[in-house]
Amino acid sequence: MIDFRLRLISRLIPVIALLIIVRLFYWQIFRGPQLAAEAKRQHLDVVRLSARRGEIFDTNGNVLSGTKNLYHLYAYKPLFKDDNASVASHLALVLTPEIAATDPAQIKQTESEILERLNLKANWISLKHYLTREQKDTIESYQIAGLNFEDEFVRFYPEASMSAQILGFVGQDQNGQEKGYFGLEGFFDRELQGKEGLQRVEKDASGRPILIGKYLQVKNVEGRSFVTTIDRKIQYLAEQVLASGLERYQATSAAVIVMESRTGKIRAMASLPSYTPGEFYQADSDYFSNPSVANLYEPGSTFKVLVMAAALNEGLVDPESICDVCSQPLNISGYTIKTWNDQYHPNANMSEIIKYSDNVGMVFVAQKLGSEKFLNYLDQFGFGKKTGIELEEETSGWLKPKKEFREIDLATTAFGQGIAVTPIQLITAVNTIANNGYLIKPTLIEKILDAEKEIIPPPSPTQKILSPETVNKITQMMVEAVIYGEAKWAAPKNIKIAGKTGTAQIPIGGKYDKEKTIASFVGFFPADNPQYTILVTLKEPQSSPWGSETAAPLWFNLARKLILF
Amino acid sequence: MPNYDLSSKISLTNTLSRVVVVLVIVLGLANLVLTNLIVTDGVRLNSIIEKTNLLAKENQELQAILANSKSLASVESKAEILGFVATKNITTINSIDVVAQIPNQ
Repeated sequence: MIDFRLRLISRLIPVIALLIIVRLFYWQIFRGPQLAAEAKRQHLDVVRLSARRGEIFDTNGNVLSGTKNLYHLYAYKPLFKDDNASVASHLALVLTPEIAATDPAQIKQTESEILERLNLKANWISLKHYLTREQKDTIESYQIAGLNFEDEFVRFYPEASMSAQILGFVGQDQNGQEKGYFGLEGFFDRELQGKEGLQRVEKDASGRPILIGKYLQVKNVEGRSFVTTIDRKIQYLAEQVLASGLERYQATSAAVIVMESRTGKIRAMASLPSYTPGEFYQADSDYFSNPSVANLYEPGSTFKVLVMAAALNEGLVDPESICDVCSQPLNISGYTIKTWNDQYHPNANMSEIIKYSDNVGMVFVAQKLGSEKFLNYLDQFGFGKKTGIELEEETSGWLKPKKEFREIDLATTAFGQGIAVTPIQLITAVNTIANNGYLIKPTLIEKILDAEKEIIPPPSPTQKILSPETVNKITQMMVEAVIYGEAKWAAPKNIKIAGKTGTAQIPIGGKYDKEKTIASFVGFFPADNPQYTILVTLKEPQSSPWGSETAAPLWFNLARKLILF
Repeated sequence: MPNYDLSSKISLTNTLSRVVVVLVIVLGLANLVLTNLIVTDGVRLNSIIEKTNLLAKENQELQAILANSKSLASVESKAEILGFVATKNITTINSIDVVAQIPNQ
């Protein structure tokens, strides 16, 4: 009997040992890597360190575009202890839109919508995006197991639609990652975004970090913030004036740029119609790009001051020089050049040519300059190339190539036709007169705020184009154009303004449409010591097609308000 | 004649061995004690991290509320409620051009 037991045990031991070895082999060799990965996952916590998108401020530090933390509510059904109907009835009290929160029918509808989602055949169900902190706290106070929140970062614009076309907006790219489009959000997207980091830390069974465990950290880099040159008070005034002008003159669109004359800093850049960046998905995409830098137009008579300045600078004319071809229409290469009102001023001097906005007189001036010098000045003033302003959608304008530039092109360009410019190009060029003959690059950036330091960009580069004598002469001509020109009825009495009106017809299908115009006024004030250079453009005003009756009063109205700054 | 040199070497080795053993024990104990102390600090660290995150979030939310309250649209509506009205006419007085002027007058 004992022998039998001994034999049985001596045979069972190797069999059991073999079974154990086989089992261990299975767990350690076959399932080993999987279990190791599982264990690693359980005790190693990997956290993505998100980089907060930088903010955009006005020049006084007021937020124009910021990021706020909202919450995404989701349900994990395996952890539910209450039934779906009970959860839905609790949530409906919080998730019903505020305006309908007292309406029982509306609450009931929200409840049924939530219940419908909870009844989906899935463990993880997204219930509601963009909850506020108060909503989150209220839901948490119900202590419903299985409901949870995750952070969502949302761009917000405290000034709503103000500066929309300067700021741009933040949407998502093809991979669902946030991305800035248009304006500053688009131009500085990478700097604003920053860089995500990663933290890997060993944790105990309760999920708490083990300080002596493995630890790895790749630091996140917060997005840079930008302080713009925009003064929100000036921007607000500009938008108010523009909105009233758009209504009064029944124009299809309008734009205004206010530039600080000595520095090239843009203090306001407004255009209408506009949109609210926080609700960009509801807006027409035509409004996204900033017309002040993206839209081309023929500058018309506002261009005359630049051509005159070039001729004065070359010493080819002076304010008293007489135009000996101004008594009648001028024939050039088979085309007849007329004045805007078909009235002619024999022996008009250069000041009078600007005052009367005389096209024939300007052809006389351009012919004195000749094509080569004329094109050289246009190039120096920055036409046909981008100004370099920090906006994504800036275009370079259009200028006829030198080899195709004929006599008739010289004549028409002299009074602002046959050339396409952006409003920012025109104001930058005219600001050369306000800035004592120095062309200065326009800028929207005052300083950049890094996590560690403040970066102040170097002053905008300048280029001397006009002599101080030329500046004095052309400024005086522009002052007289305001005092005695077509817009004199609207000019403020006690502010010395140097300016010029412009009315350009819109080319449609290769021909100029007589009914449709772009009315504009460009100038600076006070003329003796310029503070601001301003350009106002109105597209297709219905009450009057003339710049002197539409854009100029708007310009003067804005100047009256800005004199207080 | 006894080999003094060898015996002193053996004595030195014995002393060193004892020191090493003592050191190992001391360091081992120190490691044990410190590990125990640090391990429990994980709980504190966790709560500090949670608190920091919460404060950062609150700070962000307050900044957003502040920005909204300071917005010009909000200020304008508050001013209207308080009875402020916008000036309709702004009168500007230009300085007169003079031939000569006494400084600081």
